Amino acid sequence: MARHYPPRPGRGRLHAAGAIIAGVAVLLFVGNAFIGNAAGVSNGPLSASHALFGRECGTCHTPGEGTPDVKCRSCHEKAGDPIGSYGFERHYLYRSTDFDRSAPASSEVQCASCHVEHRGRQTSLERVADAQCVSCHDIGDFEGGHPEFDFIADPIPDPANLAFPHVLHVREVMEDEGLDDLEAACVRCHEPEPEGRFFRPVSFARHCDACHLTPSTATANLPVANGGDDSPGILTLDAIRRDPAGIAAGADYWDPNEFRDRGALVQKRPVYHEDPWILYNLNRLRSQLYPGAGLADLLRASADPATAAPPVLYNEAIATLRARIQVLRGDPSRDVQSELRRLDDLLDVVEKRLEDPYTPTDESRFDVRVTDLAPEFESGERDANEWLTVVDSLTSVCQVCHVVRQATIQRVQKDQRTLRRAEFDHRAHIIHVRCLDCHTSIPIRDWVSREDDPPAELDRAAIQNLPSIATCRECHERGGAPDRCTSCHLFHPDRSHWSNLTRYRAAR
Amino acid sequence: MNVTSPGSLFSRPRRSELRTADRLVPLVHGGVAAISLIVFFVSAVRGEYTADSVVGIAFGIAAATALAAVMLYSIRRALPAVRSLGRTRTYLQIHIQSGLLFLLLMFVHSGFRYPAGTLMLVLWWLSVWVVVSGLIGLALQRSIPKLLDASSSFEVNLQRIPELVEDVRNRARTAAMRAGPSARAYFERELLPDMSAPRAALSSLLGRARIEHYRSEEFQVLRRTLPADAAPMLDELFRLHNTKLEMDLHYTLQRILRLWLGVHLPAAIVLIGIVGLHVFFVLYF
Repeated sequence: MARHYPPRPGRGRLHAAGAIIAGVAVLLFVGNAFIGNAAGVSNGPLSASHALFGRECGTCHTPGEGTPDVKCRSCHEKAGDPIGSYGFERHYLYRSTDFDRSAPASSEVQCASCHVEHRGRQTSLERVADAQCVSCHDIGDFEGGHPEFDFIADPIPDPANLAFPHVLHVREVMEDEGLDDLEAACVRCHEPEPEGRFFRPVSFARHCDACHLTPSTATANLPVANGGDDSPGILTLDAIRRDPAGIAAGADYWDPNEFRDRGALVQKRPVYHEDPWILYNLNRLRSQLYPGAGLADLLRASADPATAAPPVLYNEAIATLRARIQVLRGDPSRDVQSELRRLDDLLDVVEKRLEDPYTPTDESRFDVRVTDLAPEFESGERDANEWLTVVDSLTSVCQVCHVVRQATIQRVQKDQRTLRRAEFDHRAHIIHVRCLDCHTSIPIRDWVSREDDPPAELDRAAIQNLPSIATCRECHERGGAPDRCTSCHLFHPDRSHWSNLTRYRAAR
Repeated sequence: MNVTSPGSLFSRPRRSELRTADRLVPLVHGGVAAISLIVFFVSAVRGEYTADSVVGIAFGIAAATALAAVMLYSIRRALPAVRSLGRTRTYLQIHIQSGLLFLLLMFVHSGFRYPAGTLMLVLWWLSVWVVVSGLIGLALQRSIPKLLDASSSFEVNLQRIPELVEDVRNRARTAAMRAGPSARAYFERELLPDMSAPRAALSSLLGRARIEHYRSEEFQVLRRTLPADAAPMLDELFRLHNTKLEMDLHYTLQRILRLWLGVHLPAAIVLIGIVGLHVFFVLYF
């Protein structure tokens, strides 16, 4: 038997040792968090973008609130900017272009939910997981679930309003410039912008003038109006100069040597693109036929809201008015100058209001409707065909390329940004593919070497010649070219292009 | 820690001995583990998983809950009042399986990513250390009774071993005196250093094999030199020597268990503190 039975030692010392070590560890970490540089309690290094704030947790974190968006906006938003660039509200506004939808979303998430920090210096905060996008836009991945592009599935009808066969022009350019490379002819007219993402609008002056409207181009011999409105005809330069409206249109500066007066007929040579004399007479004839289409006179071409947003039309009209005001500034009359100043102020107010996207606009004021035909033509008192014949003769040179309807040259859509909700960088793609590898709707490669021309239905300006999603999927697939949502879509719109987005209204 | 009754608390019970609670514990833990893995993999495949997402935070809360369940065993040991609420075996099952579940949920919560940041690294390694040391302890608790059962014929309290060794030593000295001068000389020269104090040695873990064969040849040689009437005393001396070796086995095993406890328990306490700190920082920042 034992002399005594010693009590079994408890675990007190071990507990004490553990508690002391735990206490020291907690104190060290807490001290580091609130007194030191917080490096010990950080979940990991910050990205290079935010490394500057590595020792100032309060720059992004608010006790008890995590990382509120207001912290992000303090750097990433301009002070006083009412719309800004970030957040769901702005996302709705810019991407949908529907201002009625600019309401806070119930499913809005914080900036930090998509832009996850503390993953190291090499982390790209712009690399957002598809799951964040798919949480609202439930379309799956690019390969399987992404719908066909809008401009393919539901294209905006492009009347084109231009007679332009690509194959013919490509042949001409290649022959003219001695080109071997087919795609070199493409960029002859489709000039890349300096950044290489988009292309500059096709311009007559830069791309067409060299071949079209040479100095020998002339109008037909056109009948001269008899001074009143009771017979169809055009006004000569002298007649226009006697009209204040003609003065305002700049008739004093037109070269009289360009006109050949043949008694009852007149011919103009050369003819310019947007020739002011032709446009002046065309406006006059249109106002005789359609007296209610007053604002159409302020435009160089038809309104055509399908291809031009109202701000474009209003700005063009304002530019016309300002040009006329400028012409009249030479008049020393005090009354005229006073009136011009008033008009200047009025136009300033209009331009200011147009900057506000919520200003209601009515592009129908620029339309020329068939129902607006003058009563004397409706009743048959006058024969509208006589006037339209003059219109045809007047615009015969224009109609080589342009479409004229209702005594109006139909607007040509030069700057058509069809990709409304995604970003496409041509420069990034041109390294890998050629132009005609993707733009295959017009069979240029098949026909350019042939003697004959393709049928009109295969090669006309109205064909938008844009690739479908299947073309993109040939490269953008899992394991191939990037196929993430953020490869093409921006949640936060590029501020330099937001004005382009607002030009295309979603309501159709 | 003492091993009192090999084959009771830490050995596998027969199916008929399992109670409902014993059956439910592994089912619950296994179910939670399976569901967690499924939810994680679904989230990860969809690209939705981050530690601070709703799912990630749920896993974090589940891990903390598992850690709290782990502590129930210690609480039961410390508070006699709660010992009527379930059996020790059940609490130990909860302790072990909740510990494993905690580690799994910790991995899932972190997205199976190796952490960055000092606090996260400390938390991660502590968790692994505590759970792995716990598993080592479980292995010790399964193997030690078997070793003792095969190698020792008695039980002994760790704190009593020095006293018992002294007793065995004195009895061996008396037996050696009675056996004769050569026996006494052999005792003084060879056996006394071994029997002076309890000895923790890895060689003790050889168990019965060591106990029966260590110095047995020396005793046989000694027996041939002694008269026949000294044989019983020599047998007694040999038996007492073997008793001392068994005590050394007990002592070594008990010291291993003590060492294990020193490795496991303080680290577990620190882990609880660090987990609490992590929760505080998550809420605060």
